[in-house]
Amino acid sequence: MKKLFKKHGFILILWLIIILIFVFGGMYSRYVSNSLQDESVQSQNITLVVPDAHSVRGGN
Amino acid sequence: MARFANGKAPFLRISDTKEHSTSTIMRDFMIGLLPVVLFAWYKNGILVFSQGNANFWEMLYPLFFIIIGGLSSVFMEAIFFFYTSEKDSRKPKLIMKKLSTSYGLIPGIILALMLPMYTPIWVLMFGCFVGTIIGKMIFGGFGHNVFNPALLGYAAIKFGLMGVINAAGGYFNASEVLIDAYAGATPLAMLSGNSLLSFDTVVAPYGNLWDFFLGMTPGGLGETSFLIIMISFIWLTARKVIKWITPVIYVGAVFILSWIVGALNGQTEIWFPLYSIFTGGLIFGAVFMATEPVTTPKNPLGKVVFALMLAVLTILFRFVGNLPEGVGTSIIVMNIFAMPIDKYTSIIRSNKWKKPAYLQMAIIFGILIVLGVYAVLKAGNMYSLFIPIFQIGGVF
Repeated sequence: MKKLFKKHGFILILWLIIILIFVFGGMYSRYVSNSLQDESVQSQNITLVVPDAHSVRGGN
Repeated sequence: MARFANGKAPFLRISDTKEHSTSTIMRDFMIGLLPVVLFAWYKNGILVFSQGNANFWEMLYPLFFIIIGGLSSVFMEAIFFFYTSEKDSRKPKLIMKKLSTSYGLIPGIILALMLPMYTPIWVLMFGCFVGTIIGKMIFGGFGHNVFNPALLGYAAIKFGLMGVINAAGGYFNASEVLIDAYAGATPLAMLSGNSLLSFDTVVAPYGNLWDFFLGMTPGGLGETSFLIIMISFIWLTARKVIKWITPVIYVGAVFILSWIVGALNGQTEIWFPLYSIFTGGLIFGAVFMATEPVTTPKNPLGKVVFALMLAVLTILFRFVGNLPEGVGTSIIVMNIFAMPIDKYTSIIRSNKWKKPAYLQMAIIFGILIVLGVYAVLKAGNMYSLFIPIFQIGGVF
């Protein structure tokens, strides 16, 4: 194991970093996208509840 | 008049001095990008957070996205260096040395700044791969690329993966998505979808021209603010990282051509050309990509021709083609012609006004004029005005 790591450690670390960015970055971007979609749906629901509403503003 | 070096050899080139070395230029370029990065974070993260439309993690996301763009490019370059190096030179120290002179961070950051905030990370990484590996490393690395790497990645995403980006949230941040007036369209998409060209239909939904100038309108992460990019432009020009001539002529020519297009559509007021240069990625492309030393002409006359042709293509793509935004496509198309433009304009410069130069000059400007007239005619739909004249000549 030690020998393997000594021989290929550098490239393994590089690949690991790329995979980590892909996995955790993907999870983060999906979380942010889902939050946006939730907010968008929520604002549409508010507009339906208050039919005369023209826009939605964030509360204090 | 030709200038000769005086004194004894060996001579030191300006680029060999510490003040003008590539690493200094790249450092200054990164400093020039910093205001744009900070503005992108402020507009899409901090401001949205302060308005109560995002939590702490959502606030950090724009900055994370830009950093990931840069890092992805760097690590992909490192992997490429590893597999293409001789076995002996696969040592981490040697690869780190290669990385330090390859400046992989910059195309990744520029690509991230051009993309919408809700671009999934895998799409960003795909763009980084296309830009860095296919657009740069395969051509021989830094200094040998034909296309701007960031733009090549951007083009691959724009033509193939925009559906994925739109499904994930697209261009609107969490505050902008709540504004009904935007109707789910960026300013240029609104323009392309509107047959009626008026201030009320094109500008008013997004506020006023001041909002466009400041960059408080939907768009790519770092592309929207004319003001901030102008600050970067002044810095980069003062540090002699870029030449002022390309951005000024490019933006100026788009301004004039847009004014003509607007006038032909019955809008003679100045708001339309101003709107035209404030929207989309025009100023971003003009400052950060049309000035790239590797993929653009080097001599001043070449830069002028390059910038004029960019302006004509941008107008063509924006007002005639199906693409709402034409800057990226224009620059990538013109990257192909950078070398011939450089060559022929150098001949013209060295021949001065001798006879052969007339012919070459006439050919270049003839092409420009034909393209320009065609763009304006088609964009303004005003050829209908000339139909009686052209029908006689059998042109249309």
